[in-house]
Amino acid sequence: MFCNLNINIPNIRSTGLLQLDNVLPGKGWPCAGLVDIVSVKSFEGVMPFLMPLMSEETHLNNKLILFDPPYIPYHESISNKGINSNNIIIVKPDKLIKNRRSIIYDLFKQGLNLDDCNVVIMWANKLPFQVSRQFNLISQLNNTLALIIRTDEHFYQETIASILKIKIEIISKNIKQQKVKLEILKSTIGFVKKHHVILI
Amino acid sequence: MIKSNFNLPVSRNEQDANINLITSKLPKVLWCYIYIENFSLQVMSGDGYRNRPSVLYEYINSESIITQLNKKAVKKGFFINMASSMAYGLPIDLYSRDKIKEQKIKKKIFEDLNNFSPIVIDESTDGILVEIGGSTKLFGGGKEIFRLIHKRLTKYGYSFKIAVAPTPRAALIIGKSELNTNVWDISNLNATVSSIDLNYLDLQKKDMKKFLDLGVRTLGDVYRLPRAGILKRFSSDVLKVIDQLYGRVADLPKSIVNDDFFTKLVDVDLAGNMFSFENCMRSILYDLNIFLKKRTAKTRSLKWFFFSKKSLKKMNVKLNSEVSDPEFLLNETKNKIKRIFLDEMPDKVGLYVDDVRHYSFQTTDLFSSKNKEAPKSSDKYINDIIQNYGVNIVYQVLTKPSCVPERTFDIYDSGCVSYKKTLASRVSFSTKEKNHRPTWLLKNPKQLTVKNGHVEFEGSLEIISDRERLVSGWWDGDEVARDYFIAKNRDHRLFWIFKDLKNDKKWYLHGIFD
Repeated sequence: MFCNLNINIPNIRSTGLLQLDNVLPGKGWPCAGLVDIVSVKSFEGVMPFLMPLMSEETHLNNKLILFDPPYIPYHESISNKGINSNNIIIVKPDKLIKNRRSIIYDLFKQGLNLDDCNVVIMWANKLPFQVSRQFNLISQLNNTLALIIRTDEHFYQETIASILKIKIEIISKNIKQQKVKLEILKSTIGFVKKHHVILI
Repeated sequence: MIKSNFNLPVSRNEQDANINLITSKLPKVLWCYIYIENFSLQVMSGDGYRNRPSVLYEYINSESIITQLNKKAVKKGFFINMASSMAYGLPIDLYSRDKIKEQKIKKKIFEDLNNFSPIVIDESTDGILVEIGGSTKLFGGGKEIFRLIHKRLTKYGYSFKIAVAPTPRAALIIGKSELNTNVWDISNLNATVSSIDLNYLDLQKKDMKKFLDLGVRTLGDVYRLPRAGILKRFSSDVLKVIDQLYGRVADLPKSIVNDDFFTKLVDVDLAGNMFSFENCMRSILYDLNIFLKKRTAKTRSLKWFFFSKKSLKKMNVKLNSEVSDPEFLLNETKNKIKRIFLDEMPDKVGLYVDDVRHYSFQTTDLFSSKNKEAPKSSDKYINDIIQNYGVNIVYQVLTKPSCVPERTFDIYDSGCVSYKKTLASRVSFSTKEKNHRPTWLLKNPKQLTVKNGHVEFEGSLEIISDRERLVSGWWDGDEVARDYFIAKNRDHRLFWIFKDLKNDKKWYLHGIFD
């Protein structure tokens, strides 16, 4: 078992959701490093947790880069949640492009080192460990928060290099709110209770 | 307001600023040239080199001729290429060259110099180049390294000269010339070397003659010549040498290491065992790699010898480019072995490499804080993506005034320059109150199936909202009539679906709530 005791604990920023702040180690999102969010089904249930962060960043006139999102963000919906869509950049190469994944990884790495961007988000089913390690190191070096949203039924076996790993599973959902089972699977930035149920 | 900031050209100033950022990160390069005049003769004559007339002779083309001599011997009328037999009976010290002794001493000097820098190059028989710019912080400055190197080499008892300059060729020229000045800053280089004779540039005879015909005598004269004029009258190699001298091109003087070779003979532990045989070759190649690294050199050919009880087989491996990687060399050797027939597994394996060539490299600062790339702006990032990967990679959501959801926005890449900026405010198809809208929208609505009166998508869908009717576009002939609903499946997933009232009366998936 490897335990790195020499790790730098990054600064923490509020998630904008009190319920989520209370359950995350350090009471918020880390400002730098790679955070692995695993959704049990189809990337479902993750976006509501990120909306306040996206809203804050875009209103500070920082760019927010979305890498390979599953669909197009509906501007009417995200605008209603306070996000300035003018500051959102979407990187989504055509499915037919050769070496598509490699291009995305390369652009993601570059996106981690922009002077007007603090948060980058990538949707990926599987991510090679070596690539994730590079992302984690670059994001920490450049003080950028890298969020990887994955959906993988075998996610317990598929580990990636991250400072925080969260599993999200929807218990119930209606138009106004959702009840989510949140599990902290890995944290190098502090110790917290593992299992939580959140209503947002 | 519709805004696209994807096609902003990068200004010239910005490009220049980036170049400055990159270059400013490079450490100051300083080359130290150690010139041990008549090294072969000094090795043989010892203290006598300074006190008595001494000459060194070698057998070249079955003739014994003088190849090196000191100033006192010159005064006595001796000269290079003179037959050594002419010296017999005269009051002069006559020495035969001993290459093995030379190599042993040079190896020791190399080890000493490696204490100051990892980059030590055997430039010629009489000269060694050392890059000291990367180690200045460690030793408290360039002048301090200079002093320490001088002190370290004094113990050998040879006459030598050390010269420091920002380029290897300048250090070499100053070292060989009569000038006793070091150049610590490139801005002083031209002023310092301008009086040095052109001969030190080591040009071909025909080029030298042309320069002399033009009245060019010194390096300062060369510096004043227009580049276009040099290119017109001389080959590009001449300009390259001049550029190397003044640091306009970062390159080392290309040189094949003379009189330096690698040789090793190893017994194969388990005779007849292919694995053991391969391991022997690998071990030799790793030793070769260390040998080459110490000289910042690579090789283009290997000479293998396979000894067995019955025979000796020789095999040459020629390479297309300079290599030092042992695994690559092993693979090349194995490929060649497959093509030749070995009667029996060898007992001994030997390697001889005499084709040793220096390679050019970029020196880096040993103590640079972080080798971090300068951050760039998102505009430059997008421009770079478009330049490197083309359009249809990066997008921005742009709002457009329309009542139909898929027409209220468009995904524009920077390649689309015909997009007209519109100042109209955003219009949604229901403005009375804030309705629930999905986080994700499908660019093209997806048709759904209906089974037993139930709309299906990932299972049967249950409608959980009131109808929201959209009728639009009747005025421009592109009429849309839809009833929108929010539906839920068994996995608690919420979808935005609609029934087309106008055309085919079918159900479509248009958005996903997250």
